[in-house]
Amino acid sequence: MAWVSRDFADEMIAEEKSFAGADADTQTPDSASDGNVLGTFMAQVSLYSDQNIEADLNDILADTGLSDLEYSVNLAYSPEMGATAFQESLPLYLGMILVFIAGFLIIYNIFQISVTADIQFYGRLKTLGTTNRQIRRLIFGQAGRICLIGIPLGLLFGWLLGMVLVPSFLGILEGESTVSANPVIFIGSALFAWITVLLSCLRPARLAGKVSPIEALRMNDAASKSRKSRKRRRGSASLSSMAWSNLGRNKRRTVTVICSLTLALVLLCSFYAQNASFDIEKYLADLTLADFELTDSDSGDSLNGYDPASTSLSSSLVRDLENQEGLEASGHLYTGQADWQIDDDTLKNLQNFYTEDALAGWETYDAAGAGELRAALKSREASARVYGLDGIPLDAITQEPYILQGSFDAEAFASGDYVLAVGPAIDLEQVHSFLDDYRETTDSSLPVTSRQTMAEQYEAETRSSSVMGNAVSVVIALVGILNFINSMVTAIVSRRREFAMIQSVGMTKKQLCRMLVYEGLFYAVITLAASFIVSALSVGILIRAMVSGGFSTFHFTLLPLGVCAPLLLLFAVLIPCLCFRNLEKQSIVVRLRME
Amino acid sequence: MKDNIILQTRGLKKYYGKGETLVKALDGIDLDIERGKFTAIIGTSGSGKSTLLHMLGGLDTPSEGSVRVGDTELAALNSEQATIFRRKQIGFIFQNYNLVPVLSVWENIILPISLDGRRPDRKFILQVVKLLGLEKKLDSLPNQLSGGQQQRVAIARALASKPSIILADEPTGNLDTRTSDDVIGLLKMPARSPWIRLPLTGLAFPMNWAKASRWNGVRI
Repeated sequence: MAWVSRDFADEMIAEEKSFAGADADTQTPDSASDGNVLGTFMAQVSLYSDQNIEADLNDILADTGLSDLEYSVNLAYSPEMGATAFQESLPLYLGMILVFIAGFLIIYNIFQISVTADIQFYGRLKTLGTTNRQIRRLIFGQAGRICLIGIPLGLLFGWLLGMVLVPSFLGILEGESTVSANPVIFIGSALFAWITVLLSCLRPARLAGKVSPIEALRMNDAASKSRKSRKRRRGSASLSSMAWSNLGRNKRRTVTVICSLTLALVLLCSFYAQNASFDIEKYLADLTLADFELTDSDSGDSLNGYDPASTSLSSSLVRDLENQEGLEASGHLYTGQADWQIDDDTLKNLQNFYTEDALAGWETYDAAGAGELRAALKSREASARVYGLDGIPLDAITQEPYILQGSFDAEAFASGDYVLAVGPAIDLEQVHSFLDDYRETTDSSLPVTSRQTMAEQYEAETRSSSVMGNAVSVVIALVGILNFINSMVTAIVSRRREFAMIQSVGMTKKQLCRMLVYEGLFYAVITLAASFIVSALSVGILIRAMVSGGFSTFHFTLLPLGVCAPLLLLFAVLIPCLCFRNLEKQSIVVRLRME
Repeated sequence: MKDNIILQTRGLKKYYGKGETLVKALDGIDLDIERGKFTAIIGTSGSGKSTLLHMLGGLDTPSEGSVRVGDTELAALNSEQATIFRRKQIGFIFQNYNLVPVLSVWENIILPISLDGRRPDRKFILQVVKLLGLEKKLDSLPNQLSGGQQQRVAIARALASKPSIILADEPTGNLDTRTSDDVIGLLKMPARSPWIRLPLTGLAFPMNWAKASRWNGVRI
């Protein structure tokens, strides 16, 4: 594109019109009916909303007195494109819902644990005369104050994180990626967090208000909740059996943590299996005939059309490429322009096929093409582009599925100009390197398409959805880990006195640490077992069904589970050990005095 | 140390804090406890009874002084050694029973023995259980027992490992009068019972000084 002066443009328009046989003074440059945009005015209108585009534009044109103007709506806003975009975005929406669920679980867990731990305090208040309503107001008031501090901090941190992470996730795309700061996101997040906090306080608040003061005083996380507990069999008091029993103290919390971690692992496995099932070979086989395809530089020039005299694809280049070692096969596509006189039979056939109605219909979307045919029928002169094929492309299109009738006789077929293709036996990197050098030193405009570039192009286009899918899984995994850490820490801190008591009757520090590690390992093992079962079902049934057909080849894989298992086991050992070290900062005697 | 002395302290001190906030919980206690005797340590609130008991049981380290149980100087032991010594030689009974809520009565009783990696002497333990009237409660969880029953379990746990000494810190503090009398009677029983051949020494803090006056008493 070149920006020119108005005078220069007028001069070009006048020349164009005189060439077309028009009166330059009288004909206004307002028609693109001959396919020539020279001298036309085009306007692109961006509206505030993408709802009711046609209606709004009609109003604008009516208001400005330009109702006769033709316009077309950007296809990106068509209902079909909208439906496609929604379909493609659906997995992300589902991922977001799962992130909400994971977020809900962790906030719920944290508040539920902390409020339940204070029930003794509320019991004391009740003994002093605090009513149930006052207790509930106290609990919700505390939660509200925490929200007032935590939610704004979280929103700010989340926004900053988004500013940094989202562009790096999406990579460098054409145009810039933007991080949305839509107020709806912030208000929605704040509301969601606040509602979750309220829900998590509901049960403990109801409990604190309902039970008698003395019952509340007796309640703590360390003790079993009611006198109706089942009887146990007479076993031995081994560390592992004690650890296993401790898991059952607060079943709700245990189940919440396990569900949270399992959800994350199942998602990771599912997303990974879905992405891994894409078969690039199937995809490329549908789009390419060979590993490399070279064309003339103006073959894609839709404005000026193909120039048959173009020499960007030189014979010396072709010769050099065909002399590359390891070349298995090649092929050529020849094109040539030919002027010919339409014979009577052809003329009759064309007139019979392209009736006036057909031409009128053609003119509605391609006036230039219809006009050219009319002119050709009138003058009986036409210009044709002739193609010739040999080698790979010829072999490809002459395969039996593509032949309507009869069989292909190769000897009877003559060749023309060429496109070069090489087979898979060659060192692709070597050819890439050769072509890259050629483009750098000789002809930078030479279009080169290769299976590799097409694969890279596809990966770039789909990177955002696969990265976002994995990112969602990683976020949920982090939430699950946080939940696990919170539960382990709480379970240990709330039993400080009990641990001191057990140490006073003879449990050494090593034994106590080992018991806590067993608890963590039980958590991890149960989580991994549940994750394995659910992931196997999810991948084996759901993902298999989702990826069947198309460019996918299903592979059953639980690789993310294999990668995460050692990490989870490591956490299961590390966190109790760290908590234990913190615990030991207080002596047995101090902890015995705690209530 | 004389042969009949099972537990001895010399110049035992325990201080908390420094300078203006210094609290002298114990300030030079010399104590000799005879083997096979019941000894009550009594004192006003805040006089350091529990602190002394924790020192004697190796649960806390003194600021100064020594604590000897038999031939073993407790202050010379590290935490691990003290714990192992405690589960072999000392039976602890607390005011709050301190039973493990997720373990059954039986598992609570044999806990110190299991921690020591030894096999429990079932015959002996069942005798103790019968003596304490717990034979029908062995599969129950602590929260299914009354206060008195829980304290009996604590006593059984203290006896099960056949310790040299039983230390009881306000064992009847959370119990009603009648149950308190029963528990004190039980604490005195092992020393008198012909079938429990243990050179036991018991230390307790009875609420009623009149009852304690029949024992060896230490006032602090």
